[in-house]
Amino acid sequence: MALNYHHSRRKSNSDSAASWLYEPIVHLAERVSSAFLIFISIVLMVVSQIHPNLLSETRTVAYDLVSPIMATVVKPVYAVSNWVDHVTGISNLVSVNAKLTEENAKLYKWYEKALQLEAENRSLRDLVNMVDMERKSYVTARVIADPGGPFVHSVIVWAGTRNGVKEGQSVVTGKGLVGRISETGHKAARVLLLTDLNSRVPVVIERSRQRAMVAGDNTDKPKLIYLPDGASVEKGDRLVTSGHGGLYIPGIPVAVVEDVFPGKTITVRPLADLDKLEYVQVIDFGMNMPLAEKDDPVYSIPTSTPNK
Amino acid sequence: MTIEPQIPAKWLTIASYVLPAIVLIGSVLLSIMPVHVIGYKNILPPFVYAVVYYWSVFRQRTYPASLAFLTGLSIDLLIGSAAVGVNAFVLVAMRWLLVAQSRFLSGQQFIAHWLVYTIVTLLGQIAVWMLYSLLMRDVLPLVPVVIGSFFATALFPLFYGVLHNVHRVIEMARETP
Repeated sequence: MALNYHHSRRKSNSDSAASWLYEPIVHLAERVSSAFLIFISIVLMVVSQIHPNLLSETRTVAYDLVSPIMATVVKPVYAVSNWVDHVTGISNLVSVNAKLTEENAKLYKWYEKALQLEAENRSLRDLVNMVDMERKSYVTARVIADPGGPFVHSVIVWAGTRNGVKEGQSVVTGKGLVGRISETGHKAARVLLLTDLNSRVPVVIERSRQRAMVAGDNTDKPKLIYLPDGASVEKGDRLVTSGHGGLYIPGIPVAVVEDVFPGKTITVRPLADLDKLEYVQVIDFGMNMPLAEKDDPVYSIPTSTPNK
Repeated sequence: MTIEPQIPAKWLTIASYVLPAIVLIGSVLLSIMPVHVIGYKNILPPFVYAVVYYWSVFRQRTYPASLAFLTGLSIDLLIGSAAVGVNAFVLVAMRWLLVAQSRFLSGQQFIAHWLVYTIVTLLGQIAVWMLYSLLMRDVLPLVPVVIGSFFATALFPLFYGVLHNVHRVIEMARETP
């Protein structure tokens, strides 16, 4: 089908003096207002660098305005997405079934072991009188917007201060860590994902107990940094939060080591499925420290975990 | 394809005011819709650019510079980056450039508009990438910008069709006594 849109410009049909003056004045006003607004944009960019939190209140107002609309609009979007998953899932039923049967068999073996380890862990904790960091409360929230794009990795959830959500709270799914609450409005809150450039998560390698940091870089595979030379790390190693810096409680699954290049970068794959977030849990561990800047010393020097 | 609806004058007038707003707000909301496709963030097309392009070329008065600024600012606030003002800057500059060339562009065939839109989108996205990289003091990935521009170009005929029909409704409302 040939697309042939042709627009003819409407001619001015008045030759009066007023019309002769009107068009140039309008054009001049147009140019002046555009130049002024470009200047204001540049001022905003500079000011937002000097005072990053200056517009935080305005941002939360923006989420609160948009979130009721998005909360309504995403319902059919999710319904369609789930239907597509369901339909495509039917074609994979046989292979998925076989895989699940195999996994089930392995899990039965681990179940008995887990019960044993739990009992042992409990008695050891009692023996050393260890103070537990228990989960105080949590809110399950729906993801209603994904506004970031390639430059900012964040999502907006349909839960805010009215639901007890506060800045700094951890956000998880059943599979692992998603990120942290970076801003809260009354009805909605922003979650900074762990793949974002500004995200830093102190972790420990589960196998070797070596401390490191998962650093987001706006790609799907964040980097593992601050590993000492000669540290033991292999592809497939699980990373869990170390609890250092008081940013997250220890033990939350974070990622799996994906690629290890000797002398070069180590990339990791987040355990949580960050491309398919629908529901997340916002957890209050009573450690709601505000987010630090990317270059803040808290990210570079692991400190001891504060106990409750 | 042009729609010629038989609509009462009163509804035409209301539509001529409401439809442009709906299209603009819709394009912003489409940009922040969560889509469960792996890697979608990396191919996200700038939907709002098509709206800015069309109104800047054909209906400058419907889309003044202040509205371009507010659109960009809304996107900046919703994105949540500390670098506020980037999209506002790019959209106002884009509009200014297009308005300056609107006399030439408004008489062109669709294919010319598609080509110019492709160039404008790529330049706009590269400007956004440069500004974010500068303000975040890090070289951000450029590939998502290029891929997003490609998808925006591919979707342009669809947006152009919608906007063309909205434009027709506004013209019909103006012509109806």
